[in-house]
Amino acid sequence: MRRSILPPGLADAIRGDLEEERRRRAQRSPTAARVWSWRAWIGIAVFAAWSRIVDAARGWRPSTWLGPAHEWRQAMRGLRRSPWYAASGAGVIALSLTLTTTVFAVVDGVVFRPLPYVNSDDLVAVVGGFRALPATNFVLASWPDVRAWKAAAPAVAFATLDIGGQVPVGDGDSVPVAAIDEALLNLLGVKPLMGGFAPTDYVPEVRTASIVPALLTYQTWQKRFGGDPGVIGRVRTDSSGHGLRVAGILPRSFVFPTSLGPFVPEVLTPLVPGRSQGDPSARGVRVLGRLPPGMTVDALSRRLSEAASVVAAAFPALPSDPRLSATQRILRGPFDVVHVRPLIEELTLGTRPVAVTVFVTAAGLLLLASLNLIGLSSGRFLDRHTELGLRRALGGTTPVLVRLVAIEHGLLVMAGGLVGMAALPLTLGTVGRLLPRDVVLFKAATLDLRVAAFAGIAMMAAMAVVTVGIAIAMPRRISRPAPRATESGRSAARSAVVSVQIALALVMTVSGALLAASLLRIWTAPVGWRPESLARLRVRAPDALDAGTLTRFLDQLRRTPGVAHAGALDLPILEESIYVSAFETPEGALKSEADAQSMGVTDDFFDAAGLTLVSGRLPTRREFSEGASVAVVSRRLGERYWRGQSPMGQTIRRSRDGRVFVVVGVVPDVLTVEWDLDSGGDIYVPLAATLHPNVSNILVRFERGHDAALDDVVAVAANDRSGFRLLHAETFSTALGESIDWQRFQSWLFVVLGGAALAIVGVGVLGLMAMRTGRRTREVGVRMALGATRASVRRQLVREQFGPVAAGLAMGSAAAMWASTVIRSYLYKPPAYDWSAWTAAVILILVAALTGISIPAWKASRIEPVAALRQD
Amino acid sequence: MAAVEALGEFEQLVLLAVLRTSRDDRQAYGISVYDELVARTGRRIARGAVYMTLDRLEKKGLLTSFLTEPTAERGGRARRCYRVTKTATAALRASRTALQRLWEGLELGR
Repeated sequence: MRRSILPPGLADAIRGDLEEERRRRAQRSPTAARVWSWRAWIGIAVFAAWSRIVDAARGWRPSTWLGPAHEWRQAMRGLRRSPWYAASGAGVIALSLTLTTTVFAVVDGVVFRPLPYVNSDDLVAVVGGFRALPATNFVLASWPDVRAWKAAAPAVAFATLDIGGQVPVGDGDSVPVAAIDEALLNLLGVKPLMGGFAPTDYVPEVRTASIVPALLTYQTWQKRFGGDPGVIGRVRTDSSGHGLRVAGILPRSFVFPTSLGPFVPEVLTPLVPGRSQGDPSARGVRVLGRLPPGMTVDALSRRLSEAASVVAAAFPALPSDPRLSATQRILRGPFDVVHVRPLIEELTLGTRPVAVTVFVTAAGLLLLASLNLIGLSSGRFLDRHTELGLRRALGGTTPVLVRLVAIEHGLLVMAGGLVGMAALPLTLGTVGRLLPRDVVLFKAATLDLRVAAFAGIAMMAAMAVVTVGIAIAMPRRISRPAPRATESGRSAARSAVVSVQIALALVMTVSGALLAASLLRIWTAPVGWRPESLARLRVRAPDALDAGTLTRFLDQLRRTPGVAHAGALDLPILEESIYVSAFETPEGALKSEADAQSMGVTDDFFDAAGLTLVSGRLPTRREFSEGASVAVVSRRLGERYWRGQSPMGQTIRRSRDGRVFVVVGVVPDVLTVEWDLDSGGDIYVPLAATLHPNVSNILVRFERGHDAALDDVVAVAANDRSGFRLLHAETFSTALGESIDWQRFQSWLFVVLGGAALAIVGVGVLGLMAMRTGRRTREVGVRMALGATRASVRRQLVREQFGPVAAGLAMGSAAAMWASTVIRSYLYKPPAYDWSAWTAAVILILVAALTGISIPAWKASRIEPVAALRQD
Repeated sequence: MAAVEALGEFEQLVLLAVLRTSRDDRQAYGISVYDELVARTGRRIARGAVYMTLDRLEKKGLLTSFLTEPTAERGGRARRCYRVTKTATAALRASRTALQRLWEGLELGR
């Protein structure tokens, strides 16, 4: 196709030029260079195609004999005579084009688009590493690291940022925040839409501790301030006086330059080094850099790695802790290597492979639809022998007749394409709602010029595939006018088309079924909690939390009408993080993929969470208030730690101070990390017994039917004067649902693509079989006149047509097995063989294919022999 | 001499870029012509436009092209290098003369 758009010699020279330029750029970032090369090639091809269209339009004159306008009218009439054929052809194109373009609109923001920063190819992310460990073990920088790196590479512009935490925005709500240094926005080439930080915002002595200056993202400005242009300088605080002062608004296209998972900052504040700025072991700063001309990623990495030895010399000696593994010891030590990675790799590491897989699948769907149309048209062509023969007899040449048929299909593809484009706003809106928060998109999935251009190109590609397919199939037949209408119906080409369609559909349906089964497993997996009538409040406790303040705060919540229980815990739950247990693992414990967790809880916690005892007892109210050395463990932890023995009466030792706790009860396992990730078991101790009592989450259980009391609870918490700050409140079901956003989105995509593939195959096989069977009407008549029964005719037709279906299933099974190994890493607790998903997929395909075969076979068997014999 | 054809603005830019890049033993090919155009004009230019214009100018007889030896750094492909023909030089001169005449005596305010 490339060579047909561009003159052959020129195409080769351009590809050579692009390769030369790609290699030059690859010294900085091979991925970015590859993306650039593809974008440049597509741009040149589009420009060349457009130039050809413009040149052709310049010289175009209407033909006087069987001219284009005349041919288009004839093609329209031909399609009107076969409404079922026209509708099914346009329908499959519309369906596949809508889905492919929708997927492109999302993928465009992850794969094809350059980063939305000035000269983004020069931007890199810098992290510390260890020669003894793989590069995947990296650690963020400390302030001494940053200073050493800046000194080692003065030509490189560096910027630092620190991510995490929440800042109140009033109304009892808070938003995620990230801190940036003075250099970051300049480094990225981003200018605020309005306002900006003043130099004094970076001076710790000038800043107010409780109210921070903040740059709002455009979306936060719209959502929380109604897009008010007079927002600069406005202060929003919670009841304790903590909050923000709006210093500026970021541009709409701003994307935060790190891949953060579910944490997407809505507010940026100035980054001021804290008390730990002299400690090389206090690491948490993210570092970005811009390479100067002529410097490569590897060169910078080498130079910074040399500088790491300066910091290593001043690194504090590590305490000799015998419980630390070799890897943990290395990770806590000084860096001996510095990894420099192009920023585009850092941002799209998690989503790019999935995006590419989905896009290739969607493109396969368009190919499937095009094959389908070729199959349908090839079948229909046999019925038009008489008509085409007549046209030939009246003077129509082969090119003219081929062009006539091609125009018909061009019309079909265009009609399908227009319907598909009309449906795009609907599908893009749905995708926008389902898209997980943690997918970093460099632009929103909307119907913009690029997406419309892609739809146009996809339509042209479909038209090209169909035209080429028809051009191969037709001329031989057109050159033999008025052939006999009887054929054996065993066309190898048409059988191959059916087989390929079945195979492609099986791959997509199996993938969709596996992901749907995975989602079903996630939804039906026991979560331990009783999420109905339960809410989670994220709070920040006063710095010096005493038992009296906490009790009064919880009592206040309990007194709210409709609230049954309110219990606090010190561990942030459902935050996609596993917190290391404060207790030692006993000798002989079973290993687990994930660490155990320990948490301090208050006395009402178990009632609020809806956790009922499996065995033993819960700590008494007095044990809770006095901070007794008692613990309750989850069933999984009991089985891991004491393998077959009763956990009751067993002891666990706290690492920090050696204090021993006695296990008094066992409760069911609950989900504390995220929906598809379990911890290695949980240990609950009285909050008063923890070394530094703190509260991060409060669980509130409502009386049945009083879920609306959450608003009252929020009001009570927001107006509290004892020092608690409410950061966020949500129902537990919402919190659980958010943790499966990504799985839900993937499953939704593949289920829809699989469903569409099934629909297309169903229509295609039905159409092909109907035409093939229709061609054999006369033969069926002869058989029945010679004594064949209707049942035997049906059986024979089904048996004969089933061959290509079986071949397609065999081909598709091999491809689907490969596909299932690829998507296995995205599945939740996949069984060794998911027979149910495979069986469901194969049955669905068989039902679709057998319907396509049986209906025409049944119709053929109903025909009267005499009528059949009269047919030509 | 062949009749001098009127040149479009972009065609003139491309011809001048070819002239500039082919001086001092440098080769005028796709990348160097594109870089020269971007550097000198400060415009955003589509690579496709440069290649299509080079091809069109060659068909019009305003450029000639030759292939260099294939190299590994180009994936085993040759460079297509361009030279400006005498017809093109005449056309460029005619363009410049016409522009100079039109500019004579004109002074535009800021």
